Amino acid sequence: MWNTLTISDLAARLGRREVSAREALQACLDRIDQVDGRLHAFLSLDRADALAQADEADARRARGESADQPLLGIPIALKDILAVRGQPLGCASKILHGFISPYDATVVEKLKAAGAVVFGRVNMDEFAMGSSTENSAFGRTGNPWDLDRIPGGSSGGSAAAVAADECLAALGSDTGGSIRQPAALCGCVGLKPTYGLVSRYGLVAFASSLDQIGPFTRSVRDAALVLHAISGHDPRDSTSLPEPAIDCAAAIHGDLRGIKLGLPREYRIEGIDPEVKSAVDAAVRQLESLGAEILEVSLPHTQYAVATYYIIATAEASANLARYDGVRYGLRIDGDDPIEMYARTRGAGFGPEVKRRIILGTYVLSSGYYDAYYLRAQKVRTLIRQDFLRAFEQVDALVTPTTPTAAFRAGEKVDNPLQMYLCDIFTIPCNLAGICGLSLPCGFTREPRLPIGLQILGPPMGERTLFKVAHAYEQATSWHRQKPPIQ
Amino acid sequence: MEFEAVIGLEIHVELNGTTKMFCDCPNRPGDEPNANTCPICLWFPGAMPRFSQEALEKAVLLCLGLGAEIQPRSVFDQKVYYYPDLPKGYQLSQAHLPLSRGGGIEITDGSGQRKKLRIHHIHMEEDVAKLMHEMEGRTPISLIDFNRAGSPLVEIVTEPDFRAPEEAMEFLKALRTQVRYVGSSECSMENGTMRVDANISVRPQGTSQMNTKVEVKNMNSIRHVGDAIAYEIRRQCAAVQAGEAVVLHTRLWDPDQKATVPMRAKFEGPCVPDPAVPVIELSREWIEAMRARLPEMPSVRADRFVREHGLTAEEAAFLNADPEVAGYFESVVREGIAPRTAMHWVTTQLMPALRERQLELGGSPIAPARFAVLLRMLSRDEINANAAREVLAHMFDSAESPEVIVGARGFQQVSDPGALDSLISQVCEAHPAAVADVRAGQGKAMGFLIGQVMQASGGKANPKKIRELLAQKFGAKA
Repeated sequence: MWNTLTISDLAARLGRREVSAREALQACLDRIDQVDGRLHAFLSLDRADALAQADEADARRARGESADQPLLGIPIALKDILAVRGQPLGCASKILHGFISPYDATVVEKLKAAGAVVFGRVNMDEFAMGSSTENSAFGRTGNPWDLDRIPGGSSGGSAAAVAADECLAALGSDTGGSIRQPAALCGCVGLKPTYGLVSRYGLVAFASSLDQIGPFTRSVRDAALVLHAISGHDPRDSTSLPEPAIDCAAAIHGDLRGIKLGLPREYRIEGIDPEVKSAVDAAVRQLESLGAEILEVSLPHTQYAVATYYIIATAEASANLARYDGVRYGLRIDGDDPIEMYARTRGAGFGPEVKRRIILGTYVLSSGYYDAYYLRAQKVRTLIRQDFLRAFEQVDALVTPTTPTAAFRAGEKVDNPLQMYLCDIFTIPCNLAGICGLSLPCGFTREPRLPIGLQILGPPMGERTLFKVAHAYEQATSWHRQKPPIQ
Repeated sequence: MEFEAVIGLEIHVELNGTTKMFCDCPNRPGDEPNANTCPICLWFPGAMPRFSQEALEKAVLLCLGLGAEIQPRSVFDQKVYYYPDLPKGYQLSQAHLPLSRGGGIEITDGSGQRKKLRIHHIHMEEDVAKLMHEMEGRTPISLIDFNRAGSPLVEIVTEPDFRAPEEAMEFLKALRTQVRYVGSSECSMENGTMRVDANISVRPQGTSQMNTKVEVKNMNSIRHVGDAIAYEIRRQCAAVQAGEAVVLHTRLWDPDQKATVPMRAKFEGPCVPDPAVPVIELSREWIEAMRARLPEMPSVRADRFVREHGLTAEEAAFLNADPEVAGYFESVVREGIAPRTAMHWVTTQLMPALRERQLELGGSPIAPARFAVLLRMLSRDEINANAAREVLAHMFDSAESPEVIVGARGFQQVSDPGALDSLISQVCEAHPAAVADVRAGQGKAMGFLIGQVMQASGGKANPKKIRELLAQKFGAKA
């Protein structure tokens, strides 16, 4: 079952010629055929293109071009928000109906150059707006641990596909927790890199000052491998950091002696599920036993993070989504004049959550409210970032739950957007601060058995610390080896 | 009641960078429609802007040339509005923190006084696509050419310092000259590289209130700007006198009707700092390095022409209206030609000859050194002015030097007293009455005789010499 391995395992076997890239991809495709009718992680899949890439990877290996290419022949699925030349790019929205991207995102270019088999369009909340993947215009994705439950969001398809062994890894995007939250709810590893570490060129923008691309994998080491392949400065993204690709493999070793970990006092909130709390508490004790020193720290502006986020993210989204007007591509519903065409096209093309956020964003930017909402939110954002930078003067990383609860039932929160927004209460501050964060499995609820995620937050460019801590914890536990029941 | 107009201008100048402002597409709006487009300037999903350093430098030079103060920090905003000419639903424009503040241009107002017209700020922004409305059979269709979408622009926003249409026209002419000097734009209203909107209000003479303004667009020459402003002032004065309120709106200038007509308002949405274009932070050193790249500006150069070349202020200003003309003039002077001769011949002979042939100064076959050879022959009396004009015409058609043209075509001036004497004798014999008049001291008759000798020489005689010889001939006997 090649599709169930980690990248490191499969890469080793590919290297020893125990398996070909084509066979590994075929195992993934077979698994998709077996479960995806029920799981619905994939929106579309170009099998011929994927097989051609796998054959090319095998040919490259046969030509001896495999040195330092750990991703050569590794099948990696993509969230439907990343541009791939010649493939549909839809953001799980009707408004991009029929749009085929004429170019590759930088991360796609890099993965292809590394020899990965980049395939499939996996499901998401429309334009990455949501926490459950229920906002997809093409139907929800199930949680592999319980198909009646949500996989988290917005990158729910990526998390579900990795957890259900439909691919070896997937890329997603994280604006307020859209990688870490579904990774936690599906029981895989999800990384939101430092803002600017991974180029956003070719990532459809939701909120440009918050968006970051990152990997979903089944091990911490695998996440480091993918990050190494996709990171590094890109002149096409002016916000990308002047840093080379980051290789965290060397940081993955040893125990945690000398590492200081902080527990943010303000993250101990009402409404956190007791099972989540006890799993995280146990994880903290485990980290302590691995040699880490545990300290309590304070992030005093935490309580304003969700409100700040929903002002800044919606403000940016209202402009970023203005381009979907039916003029140049995607859905168009004609009208008697351009304004009527816009209204009809956007009225029919966007789902309710996207409309809600465009209206919110337009409102907070409207004259008379700009200073009270948008400018104030920017100031609070600075304070939140300063909270983190101050905390990182005392500790190397912070440890928190990724989510307040495990996966909830589909439909449970669709009529209560505020409650849905609170799913991201622990993940949102990281995006506002531009720092890095990783979620990895740290236990299960008892009945039903659902994964719980542990979040580790690091300072800007602190990925090596994240990986060191996460890997040490992962090696001392077996949560990541548990497989969901979907067959 | 006497009214006074309060006028401010908003001027878009298209920068002549080689690429668009946020992608590498050629900045050539005139190419085949949509030839110069890419995923960035068409704003396909996921595309990101990459700010052009060249556009920044062109914009900064333009600001410095106008005496503006470059801001150490400026920011691009997303100005949201919905119109098919705007491919991403927002325009990248520096709405809150502009590239420069201050600056201005000095003009001469209607009463002959020098007056400084101040600039409030100058900001950068990207241009939008061009819409074409056509008929497909009986169905009206709109076509979009995105070649211009993303071209680099600056918008110059003035203070409401103008009181008359003529001031606006003077300002725009001077602005055009300045911008051409720094080389940032062709700055021509006719080809759309300069576009002007005027904001106009009226108030009782002598008051200082700012009344509701009306914006007027769609003028495509400096003259139209003047006409549109004059019309709008008359319209508003009449409205106020009739007791009607002026309401804030936008009007279009209709050059056929010679009137302004109301225009439908565009929806204007929110404006948010763009998170994808980095904040533009400019150090004092960098700004000074750019300032060092500024050429000598027209007013400074005009002063120098007065000082060094003895021209009048008007002549100097006239030459400096076009940096190429001024540069050409100086090149000719450097060849040793007297400045007044150079000024006169460049402006009254060479420029009209170029216009007649639809040639530009830069691309013409009459290089300054070649033109100077012609003028030198004129100064040395080797040819006369008539001949010089003819030689100039030949210089457009052949690459030969003026000397060769003069030699080959016999344009040499005849100054030899022997040759002229025989012509004078012939003319005097043929016109005894005129000779008698000259003897009687009539100046007009002298002119007649000179003309006759010139004609007899086939236009080649030196008129000064003829006058000398005639004076000798009759003066001695008188």
